[in-house]
Amino acid sequence: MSTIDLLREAIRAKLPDLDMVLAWGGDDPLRASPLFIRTESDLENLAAPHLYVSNLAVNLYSLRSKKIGLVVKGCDSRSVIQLLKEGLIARPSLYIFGLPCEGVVDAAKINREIPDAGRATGLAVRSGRVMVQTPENEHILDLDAVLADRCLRCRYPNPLIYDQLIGEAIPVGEIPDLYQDLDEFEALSLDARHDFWMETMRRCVRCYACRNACPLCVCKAHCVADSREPHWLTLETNVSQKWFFQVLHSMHLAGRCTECGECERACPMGLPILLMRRKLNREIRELFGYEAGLDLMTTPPLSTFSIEEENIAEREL
Amino acid sequence: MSLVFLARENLPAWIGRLYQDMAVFAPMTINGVAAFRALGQDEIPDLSRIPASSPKAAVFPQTETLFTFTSRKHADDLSQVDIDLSYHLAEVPRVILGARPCDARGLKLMDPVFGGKVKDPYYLARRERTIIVSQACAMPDRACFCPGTGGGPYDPAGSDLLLLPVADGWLAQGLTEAGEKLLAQDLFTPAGDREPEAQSLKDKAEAYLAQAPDMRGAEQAFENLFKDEAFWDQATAGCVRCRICAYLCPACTCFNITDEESGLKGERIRTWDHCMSYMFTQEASGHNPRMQKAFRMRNRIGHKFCYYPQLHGGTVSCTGCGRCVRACPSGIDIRRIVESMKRKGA
Amino acid sequence: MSVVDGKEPSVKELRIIGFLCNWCSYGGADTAGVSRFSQPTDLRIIRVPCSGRVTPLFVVKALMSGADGVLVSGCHPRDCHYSEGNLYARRRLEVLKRFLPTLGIEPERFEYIWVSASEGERWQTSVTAFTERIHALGPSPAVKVNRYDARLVAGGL
Repeated sequence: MSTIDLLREAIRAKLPDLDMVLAWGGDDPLRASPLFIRTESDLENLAAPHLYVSNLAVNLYSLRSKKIGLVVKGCDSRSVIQLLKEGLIARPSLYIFGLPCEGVVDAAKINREIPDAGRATGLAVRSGRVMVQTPENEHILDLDAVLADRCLRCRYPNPLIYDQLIGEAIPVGEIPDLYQDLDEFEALSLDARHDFWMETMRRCVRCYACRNACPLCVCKAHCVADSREPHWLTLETNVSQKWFFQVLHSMHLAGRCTECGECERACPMGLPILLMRRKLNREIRELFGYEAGLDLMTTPPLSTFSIEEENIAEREL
Repeated sequence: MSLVFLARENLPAWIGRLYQDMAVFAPMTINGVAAFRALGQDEIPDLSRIPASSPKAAVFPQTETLFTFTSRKHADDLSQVDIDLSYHLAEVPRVILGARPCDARGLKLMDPVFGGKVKDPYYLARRERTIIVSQACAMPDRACFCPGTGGGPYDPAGSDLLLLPVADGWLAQGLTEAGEKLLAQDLFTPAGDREPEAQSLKDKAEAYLAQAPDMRGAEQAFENLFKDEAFWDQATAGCVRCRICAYLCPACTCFNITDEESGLKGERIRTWDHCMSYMFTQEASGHNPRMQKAFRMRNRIGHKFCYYPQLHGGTVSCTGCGRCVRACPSGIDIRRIVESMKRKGA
Repeated sequence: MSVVDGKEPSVKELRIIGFLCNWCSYGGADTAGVSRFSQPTDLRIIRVPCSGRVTPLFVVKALMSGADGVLVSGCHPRDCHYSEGNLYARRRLEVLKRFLPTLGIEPERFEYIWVSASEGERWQTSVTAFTERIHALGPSPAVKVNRYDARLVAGGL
């Protein structure tokens, strides 16, 4: 059986015990949307696995009073672990279908590569190639050129937490994340980095999609960015407010972010905002040897301390 | 009206001339995303993609200062404070270049809101100084549905000048006096026999959109479903409550007014608001009649497909530009909501 | 910088914000004052209950609102009057310090130190050294941001 058939049957079997199952569906050939499966007939709308771009864990916190079935890829499972670890959701109300993932295609990249991608009628992945069909053309692209960035550096294609694994686990070698993108950025001069954020934030429309698509942003109505009292941010949409918000979002995720990349994927302006989160993650890894969302037991590094910090030198003036 | 031809390579020169007399708002592509902005000198827009944002900010900026205020304390009696107010209305003429017909119609939909019974001087000052040069859509995509809202990929409504794409440039069609004026340039040459080429692209685009669902006439269905919580819950299940749909929409007009102060100085500003935000319609008591996202989305749909058409002769407050569909991180499709609303609420 | 020893101020005063914990560093600054140690006057002190109260966002907000430098000072590790506030602070502030250069902000604009209530002299040395460092860096990063914003506002008409 194909992965999608295995998944469909697994969900069908568990559905009677659950209020709903979160998976991916829809008819967009370039990306699947969250699919809320309540009845068997909803199962007909399941999409193909290479389109499972979004991280469904974003829905868990607001559905925490319900008995939820959830399909996770390796990266999504890290968000689930992080939410569980922080006590934001409870394990007993969750049933996890783990889906080993070979990577998902990034619709934004396809749009950059193909001018008529918006008219696509079909997409197929075969042996390292992606075929995109439009009314006028058939485009063939290298899979690596259109895989989501996070897939290109993926170290956890297999879910780290699940009740049931769909299909076989994918063998993984040792793939270190070298943070090459960050190194390249940090090789720029300080002024160039500053200017980069100015130009980037100029394009921001302050829609808060980055915040709201983030599975770990759980303050919801209480986000300080929306608060008038205290007045952290004004409602002006100037660069200084938008930039400060990005710093605020990044800092609140320091030591929690699993780099699922939803902030960047959700951004309607295509802004490279994951870079800030990756920077913090790298520092956290170097300082505390910690990565978010890998296990249920350890404490996020900024929620604890050591009396003697191994990697922090005393600061003197 | 007669057509003239603008070669693709003459576009920069034309923009350069426009730039001397007015501000030019046009789509710039960065990192694969085209968005409208006020062009800087020598910036060349990208007219090949459907812009991710609408050009409404040219007349209705995301943030605008209504007035600035400064408090002055009396030196001899500090409890006495005078307040100085100042404001200014836009004076610079502007052109929106590369709007799509759906964008031009979006501005037409905003006009009765800001220029109807109550006149909004800030909006009108900009609007009266704005010329709209639209580019007809030869390549609509799967998110487009303008015919279902009363428009079309070559709809001239609301534009001053319409550019009809041909292989190596555009055929320009002046629709108003202001638009015609922009054509009085040696950069434009007679269109000759190019019209059939433009016409065939138009036919193709219209054929592509023939299946667009009709979004009009849903007023009664909406009212019938108003209390159907399950329907709205289902329609918004995946919504993450971001503001993409309203901020990219060419027809959304909701705004906030706040005072942003620092020390003795401050500004009263108007900023775009959004029905999916937690603070939207929150009352002073803290109570919000639209607490759940389902109720907020209901307001969004109701506003566009029931309340607005009831006030404005059946015209929906949606132009079928498809931006909310393209950019929604959860893949929510307003066409599907309206379709199922019409089906269920009939 | 101006110095409170009766001489004319030689350089324009900058705006440096100091977040000082109530128990140690605020006391340390007080000790310095009572002992009549001369200090630069660029620092504006905000007293907080504990360095653990200082979210990194206080620092960023201050820098983006026009502060030229920010200094956080608390009790020495193990001496926190709430046992562990400064130990949490140390982690957060270290992360922030390493984050600033990626934003294009000089990390030297921000510093965190430990000064106890009896260390008046240490306070004097630290604040003098930090003030000199900020003077060498020049005006706040907010100046550049605000200039950029002003250009955009003018362009948006």
